This record gives sequence, structure tokens and C-alpha cells, in this order.
Amino acid sequence: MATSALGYQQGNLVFELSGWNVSEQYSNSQSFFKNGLFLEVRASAGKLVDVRDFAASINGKVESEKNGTRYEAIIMNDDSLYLFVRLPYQDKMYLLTMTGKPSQLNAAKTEMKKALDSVSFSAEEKVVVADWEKELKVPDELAFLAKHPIPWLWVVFWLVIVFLVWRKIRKRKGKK
Amino acid sequence: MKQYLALILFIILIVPVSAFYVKEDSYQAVADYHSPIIFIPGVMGSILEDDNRWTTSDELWPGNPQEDRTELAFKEDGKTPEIEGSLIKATGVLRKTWGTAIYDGFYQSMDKTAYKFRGQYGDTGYLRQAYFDHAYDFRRATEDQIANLDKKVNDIRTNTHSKKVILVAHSMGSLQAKMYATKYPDKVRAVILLSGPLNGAPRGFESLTEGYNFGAGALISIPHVWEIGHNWPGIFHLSPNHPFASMNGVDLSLDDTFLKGINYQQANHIPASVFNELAAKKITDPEAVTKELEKQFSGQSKAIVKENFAFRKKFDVLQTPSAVRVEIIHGDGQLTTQSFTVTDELYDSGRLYVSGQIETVEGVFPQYSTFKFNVRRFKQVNSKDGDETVHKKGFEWASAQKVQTVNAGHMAMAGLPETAEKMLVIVEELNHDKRDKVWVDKIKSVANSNLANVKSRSQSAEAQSQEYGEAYKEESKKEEKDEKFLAKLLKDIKGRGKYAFVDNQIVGRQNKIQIIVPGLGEYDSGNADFKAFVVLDSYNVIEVNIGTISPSDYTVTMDKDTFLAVVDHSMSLKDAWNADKIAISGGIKERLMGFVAQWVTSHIGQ
Repeated sequence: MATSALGYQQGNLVFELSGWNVSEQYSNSQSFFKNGLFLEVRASAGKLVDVRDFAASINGKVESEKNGTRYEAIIMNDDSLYLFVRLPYQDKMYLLTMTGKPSQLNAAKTEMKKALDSVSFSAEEKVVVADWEKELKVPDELAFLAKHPIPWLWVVFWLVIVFLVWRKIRKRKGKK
Repeated sequence: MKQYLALILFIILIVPVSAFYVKEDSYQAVADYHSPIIFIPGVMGSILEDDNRWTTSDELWPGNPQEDRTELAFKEDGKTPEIEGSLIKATGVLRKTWGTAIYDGFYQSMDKTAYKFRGQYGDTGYLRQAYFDHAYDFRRATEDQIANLDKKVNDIRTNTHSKKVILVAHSMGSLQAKMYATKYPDKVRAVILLSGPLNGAPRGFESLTEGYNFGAGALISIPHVWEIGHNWPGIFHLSPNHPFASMNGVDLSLDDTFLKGINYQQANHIPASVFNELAAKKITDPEAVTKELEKQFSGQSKAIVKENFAFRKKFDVLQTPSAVRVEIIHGDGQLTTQSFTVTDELYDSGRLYVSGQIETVEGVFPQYSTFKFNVRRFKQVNSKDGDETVHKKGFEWASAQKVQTVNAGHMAMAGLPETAEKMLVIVEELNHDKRDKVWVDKIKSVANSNLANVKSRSQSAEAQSQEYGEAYKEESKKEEKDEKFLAKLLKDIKGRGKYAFVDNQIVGRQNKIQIIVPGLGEYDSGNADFKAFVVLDSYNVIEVNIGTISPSDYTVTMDKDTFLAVVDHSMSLKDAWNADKIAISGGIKERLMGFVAQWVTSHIGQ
């Protein structure tokens, strides 16, 4: 039985993943893992690396590269495999980055294709805000009566005084 | 009718009057318990974002391997951003990235304790056991971090109504924790340093020369770390403050180490235009090329080296007043770089000299020669004295009251439950340094009462013995040996006594008190890492525990019908003691209570 796909959104990018576990989700990125593969999705407005420079920096090689409506590249060294996908939308570039072992190349390509087939763009931006990103919550004000409880002892004391005075006055009035 | 109206009027009047009456938090009023904890992460442990970019994702660190993080680089002055207009700020502590836990383990360990992250208001949670974190721009000089940390400390002190905070810092964060505690000792109850390279680490320097990505794995390549980080004063502050490199068997001075030669990463990043110039001048001989290149590239940034040495001059002599407790916990037993042996090696630039033009290796005929010049290489000398990243020497600080170790690497140790337990024991001791008089009086009173009970029981011991019958006597004989052992042990506790009381649920007055006897040592072997704990519930002994303990472990069952209830009901007292946990009831409980009562009264007076 096929695992049903789950939908996610990062900024404007909407995508579906099937059988992937969430590694981390916060406002800047979402990442997932599945059978030794790791996938990260984020929006970027910064300068991106040239894949050849990146390959050189890890003593690796650009295995393939494709440029069209989206940019795709596969980079490998002896230990690692990288799949770079860049999807432009409005003023941002959406980056899908998958890593794994070189032996997982076919699985990685299949998974990336599945993810890309599900991609669409929403007009409304949405990000996941992690708990730790939320602003520090300053203690709420207590309810008025919790903060200022009625001093019952004091109330009873004055009630007794008032009662005694009232009784005295009443007696005096009665005598008159 | 009039009187009822008067009464109603009176109540209506008294309610606003109550506005002037504010209920004091009795807990807060009594003593400044449970100083909040602020966690400061290490280098690369904070998320950095550019405030000048508008996008849903303006994250520069950790970012993504596809992104060029050059924006994180500084110019040679160690201050000016490499990209104009860059406005970088730290927004959070890195818990997990690229599938790898960074500080996730620390938060998970802490969340299992009574301390809660950013304790929210509910009961007294916010006021009591709350912990916070402090992200910072790790690229900058340590001194430049102090103002931001002070702002965070002040905010937390205000919101938690605390006079002081406890700073728990990992790795690079320890540098600012030390500096802050010495500058503002009145705001800091303690600093607990987790693998803090206070005296630097050769691997910090390595990131400036040979290349090192601080274990960032697939996230960023080693050359890219050098590209963005070789002008970060923060990294320089991680370099050792003592000679750590030798050449031909002779120690190099720090000046020579930092300022001489062209290092390997520099050599890899010399622009082609420089070789073009050399070619134009017809300089191709390796010696001559080396000389020319050294003029431009030799050593690290002079301005930052100067700043680093000035920083060290001030930083290394800092001491905290004794009121600030300093504790060090570090990883140990891992293969760690302790120094470097330095050699100058002939390096091939990889750029070909072809008729006055510089081209890359690809597509150029091999008969042309490349530029060769001398490069200074730093070869690691390793030993198992450290935590993989920092050598033992790096952790030392004269202000530290105690140094503890865990058998783990530099990053792993921060998330280790064992580290959290050691830290929490310290925190609990700290939180009760200022015991309030009411509690001490109560403890004394109960201890005295227990003492009287024990004396009375002792007088009727023989009668009780008869009552229990022959079976009891047989049992007693079996346990006699253990009782002697217990007596000896408690005598030992009494002699060593330094103690703390843990009010696990102090507000509800369901008093659980833990007496901690640090430095007791493993019984019979003197292992200084061991501690003994005597846990009292409402001033009755309910558990004796040896070894480390966390507050969440206080689950004790008592069996009133059992003379001695041990973990598996078959162990001798001594075995149970050595096996970490015993529960005590019946006669032994009473006697132990007596010992503890004696011990308490002898330490805090009648």
C-alpha cells in the first residue's frame, strides 16, 4: 500500500512528500529525512554558489547539471551526494537540497523527482514558526481580585466596628 | 432596610480599598531561590540573519550549502562587513541543523528537569525554575558581546524578579560568560562552563590556517569556513594564549605563529590576478615567488592579531569574586590536538603560467609549469587529553571552585544527560546558598525532634527486640555487619559535611529535602566524583543514594513492614549502597534518621 503524501509549505512553495520524516521546521527552513537521505527546503534571497566552486571545495565533481525553468545539479565526492534544485518565484529562489551517500544516487533522484512533481506556488506566504522562535512571553497580568485579594479579616473587623457603632446609635435613639 | 444598604455600601467601598493591598508572593519574599539559568552556546551555535534583506528566509547561518555565505565575512579590520549594508543579528540558538543535533540534547536534558525553557506564567513557574538562552554573533570580538548579554540578563532579572542569574556557557560562550561574571559579579550567582576554551584551543587556530569546519559536516565545506571566517575576531579569541606550535623542535612565539608564512588555506585562496602580476614581472622562481607572496599574504590579519593579543592581556587575568561560584565541566578522554609541528613545504599553486597569462589547470597544456612557493603547514600533535576540540590546558581558570569531566567529545558533552545532571546538582546547591531562617529553623526543630525520638527508641530497644522475636534477632545478626558499615559511612558523611537542601516542591510545602555531600568519594576507593545523597521527605529519611542523581529521580517507595527494603529485596545493605539506591524503613530507618539528625544539628546548630 502506498504511503499517503503529506503537504507542506515554505514561503510560497507548496510541496508534498511521501514517507519522509520531519527533521526540523522553523521559519527559515524545513528539513526531512528518509532512508539515509536528507532534504532541506528554504527560500533564499542571497547570492548562490557556483556548483563548480562548491564541487571543488569538497573535492568532488559536478555529475550533471540542467538549466530551464528550474536549475538542477548533482554533485558528488567520495563520501557524499548533493542534489541542488533552484526554483525561482517572484523575487526569491526556492532551494531544495538533498544529501545522501553516493550509492543512493538513484533513490535520491527518484525522491527529488517525486517532490518536484508535487510542487506548486501559493499566492499566500506561509512558514512554520517553531516554539523557540516565539517571543518571550512576559507574565500575564493576574486577574484583579487575584492580584488584590479582598482582605477579609480587615473587612470583618470594620463590619464589627460599624455594627457596634450602629447598635450603640440605635440604642441611644431608642432611649430618646 | 437602611442597615442593609449601609452594609452593601460598605462592601462596595472596601473592594476598591483592597486595590491598595497587593498580595506578596510569599515564596519570592522569603529568599532569592532558583536563580534563572541563561544558556550561552558556542561558536557557530547561533542562527545569524541579515536584517537588511527582506525575505521569508534571511538566514545566513547555518543557511544552506547552495548559498554563498560570503556576507558573513569581515574585512581585515575584523569589523567592517565584506558586503556593504549587511546588518547581521543573532536570532536564536541552533538546536538542530542539517539533520544533526547541535544543542538539541541540551534542551532535551533540561526539559526533563524542573527547569522549563522560558518558563511561562502559570503557577509560580515563571518566577521559579526557568531557563533561557542567549544567541550572539559569534564572529565578533568577545568584548563586543557583553552589552547584549547584559541587556538579556537585565531583562530576565526583571521578569523573573531575580537578583542574580546563573550563566551556563558552552565552548566559545564561556569566554563572554567569564568576562561578564567578572564585570558584573553582582548580577551573577554562578558560571558553569561546559568545555569552555578559556585559554584557547589549537583547533581554533587551525580553522585560520589548515582549515577546520567545527564539525559542521555537510553543511559547509572547510575552505568556505576559512573564506568567511578568517577575519572573525571571535575565531582568533579561540586560539591558544600560550605557545602551541614548534618548528624544528623549537617552540614558536605567538607572534611567529600568527604572523609568519603563508598558510595552506591562504595559498588555496590567492587570486589569479596576483599570479598574473608575478608573471608580468617574470617572477617564477619558487623562492622569489614566496618572497613576493609573503609581502601580501603572510600571517593572519595584523589588526585582528593585535586586537587578539590585547584581548588576551585583559582576559587571561580576570578573576571573579568568591561570591560568584565558578564550576567547570568538560569532555575528556578524546583524541585532541594539543599542538602543531610546523614545516615549510613547497606548494603547487595549480595555476599555470602560460606566456604571461594565468589560466586554470583545465584545458591547458601540461608542459607549462605552475607557480610554486613555500607554504607553512601545521601538523597536528594529538593526545587523549581533551574533548576532541579543546585540550585540557584550554579549560583552566584559577577562579574555578571545581572541575568535573565527562567522557565525551566537545559537542556531544553539551547534550549529555550526565552533563545536565552534574550541572543541576551544582544549581541546586547554589539555589540554597542563602537558606532562609524559617526553613533552617524548621529543619533544626525537626532534626532535634528526631534526635529525641531516636534516644527514646534506643532506650526501649531491648523491649522492642523481644517483641520482634527470634526472627528479628536472626535478621539483626545478618544485618549487623551492614549496620557497622552504615555507621562508618554516616560518620564519614558527618565528617565531610557540606550540604544543600532541595525543596523540590517548596510552594506546596510538600517538603522533600536532599542533603548532598559532595566529594564523599566512592566508598572504600576514594573516587572523588562520587557523591552521597540523603533524601528526606517531610524531614524523614526516605532514601539514601550514592552516585549522581537528578531531582526527577525522587521516586521512593517505603515499605513499613519490611525491616530493610532494598532494590531487589535480596541485596545486603552494603551491596545496595554500592548499587546506587536503597530505601530504608523500620529500625534501620530510625537509626539512620538519628544519624542524619545528629549530622544536621551539628552543622547548623541546635
